[in-house]
Amino acid sequence: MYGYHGRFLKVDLGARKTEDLSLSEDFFKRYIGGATLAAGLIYDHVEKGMDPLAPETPLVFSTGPFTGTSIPMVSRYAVCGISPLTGYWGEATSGGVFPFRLKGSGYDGIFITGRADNPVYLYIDNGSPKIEDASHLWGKDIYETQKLIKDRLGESSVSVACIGSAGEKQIRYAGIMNDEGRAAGRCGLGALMGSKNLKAVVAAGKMRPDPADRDKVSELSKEALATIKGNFTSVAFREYGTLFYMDMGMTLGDVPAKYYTKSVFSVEKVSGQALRQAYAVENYACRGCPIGCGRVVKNFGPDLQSIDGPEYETVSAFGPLCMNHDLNSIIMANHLCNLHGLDTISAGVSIAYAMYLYEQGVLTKEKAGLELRWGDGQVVLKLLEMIINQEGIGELLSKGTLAMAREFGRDEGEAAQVKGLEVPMHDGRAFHGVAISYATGPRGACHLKGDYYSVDLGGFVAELNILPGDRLDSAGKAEPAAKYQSLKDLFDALTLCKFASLTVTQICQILTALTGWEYSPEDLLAAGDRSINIKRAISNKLGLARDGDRLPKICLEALSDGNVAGQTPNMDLMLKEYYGYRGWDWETGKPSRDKLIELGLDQVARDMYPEK
Amino acid sequence: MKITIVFNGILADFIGTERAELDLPAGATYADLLSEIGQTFSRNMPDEIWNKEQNTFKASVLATRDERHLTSMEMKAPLKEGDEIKFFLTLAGG
Repeated sequence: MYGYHGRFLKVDLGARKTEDLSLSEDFFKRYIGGATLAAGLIYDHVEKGMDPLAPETPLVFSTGPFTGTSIPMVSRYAVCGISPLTGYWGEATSGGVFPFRLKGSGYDGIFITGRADNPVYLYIDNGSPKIEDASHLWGKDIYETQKLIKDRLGESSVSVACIGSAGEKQIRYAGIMNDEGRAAGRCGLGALMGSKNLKAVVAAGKMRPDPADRDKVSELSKEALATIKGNFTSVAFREYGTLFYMDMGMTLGDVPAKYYTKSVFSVEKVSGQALRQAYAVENYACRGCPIGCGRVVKNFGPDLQSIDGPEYETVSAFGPLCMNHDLNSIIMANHLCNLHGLDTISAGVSIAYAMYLYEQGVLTKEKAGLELRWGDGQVVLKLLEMIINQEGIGELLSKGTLAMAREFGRDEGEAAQVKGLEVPMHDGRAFHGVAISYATGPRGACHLKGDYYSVDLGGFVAELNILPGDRLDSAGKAEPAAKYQSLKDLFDALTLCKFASLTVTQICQILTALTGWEYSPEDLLAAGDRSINIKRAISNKLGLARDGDRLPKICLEALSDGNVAGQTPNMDLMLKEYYGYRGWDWETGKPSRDKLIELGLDQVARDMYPEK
Repeated sequence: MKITIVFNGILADFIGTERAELDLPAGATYADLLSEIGQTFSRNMPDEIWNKEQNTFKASVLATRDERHLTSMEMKAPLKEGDEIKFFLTLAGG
């Protein structure tokens, strides 16, 4: 087999045992890699009513065929399980150097079950795994944890993915951090790691699987590098990071403000230009990336000479969503989330909801312990500290918006979430394709697979007939949005950065050169469809039905001002079209038997539709 | 009449100007504004941005006024004294 090691490391932390898990070429061919491969592995272990934080719940770290190769922008990994926040399929991805080293460790990924008696970390070096004591690391922040491990094992040769105190406390939206501030942030998989008493995964090694055609891979790498470097979007990402979108997004009504009740907010003080003008900013690039969209803020404070800068999603969540213009407080909020390993999106949305409830008179100063005024950056930071410390109202905010709405007896449509995962910082009222992607995303509302705004702004995919259209017209939007969702889902299987401006044809050629398997754009789309459906089958097993495929009322009510005032996407129309494309049953919300068989998911079909 | 133009973000980096004030005759339209922009700035515009034959921005550039993008109707209507037209590269991400 080319492009893969052909094995995962299977770890039982309760028994402190490790063993190799060999997987067939057919299995890799069906599920490709990354989050999709993890779903293929997890599927058999999922049972209805399963507690996401139970020892037997698997936690999977996974790479793909692209990881660790010379192709640019592929040093990414996926971490997957059942989300402690949603109770359904959960996945998060991250870049950095860790993915490169994880592939170099001699395994395609790690399948972890059980709960260690004491805190441990897992160290894999060139095919040799060890479970080490981590008692001395428990309670340490993510930067210190990574430093202590690197100091012990050798700075230049290892990478660390770890949890902070949020994961240790099993906060439902705790993330996993690697290579300093790179975050596999969403879905609370840091809590799942914490529930296993697993503080860190450490990877080292130089084991690289052979590609099917080394010369072709080299040629395609050079071509891909030229494509990416020559793309305008790459230039924008390099200059301003993901924050470059802030002012244009606000102009289009695509940046939610005041807890999704507005789309008008003066962004001059929180834009990419503002960050670059107000602070000394340097770029951070994942391994093998010519762009470097990450930001590092220098000289932030006397004790903070260099900290990871905030991304667009983070600035929007702690900025406009809370009506906060104070960029200093936003950078600090980002740093606190990184330090303790917390998802900035769910944290920011939960804080904005608290401010909304305060304005409504539902959450009082007495209950909250402080006044929750819109736009007060210090209140944002105080609430964040209360979440991290599980103090006062912070404990409720740490459970997310759905738990908050239920606690206060509010209409659940007021909770800005889909399937329990907080809605990211693009607005479905500004791009109807985003609305249907959010409603149907495999992990809930997802900005990484719901980025259909890219298509309507000109980033079309000609080979798959995914073409720009009227962003405010719901008719005919669901099918291209579903196709685009499948394609982006596949990026997390390969693993390829979403910002890599490669054509589908280039992706097919690279996959073929690495694995030896022939792929056409249509084959690639089918693989993406398969990916969406195996994740859907897992969530169906866990109880997901069609009523989980909806945007909350707060994100659908027509806005009174801004660029998309009066606009509401037609969700019923789009959902019907979406189900039609997917071949999902309208009554049950499950993939139809025929669709599962068409996609080669025969075992899932037999499980879901047992013969009588 | 005075019309202010603002090139936003990465566009300003390409063109080498962030903000400029242009003097146009009363009743001038968006097409007249583009013609003026073409004469003044087009030598700094990459081919991906500026259509030299038609003297206009390509589809990758979005024009806005008062934080709203200009509709095709508004582009045909006369501009007003003091209008500020902002231009963005329509790149998506984040």
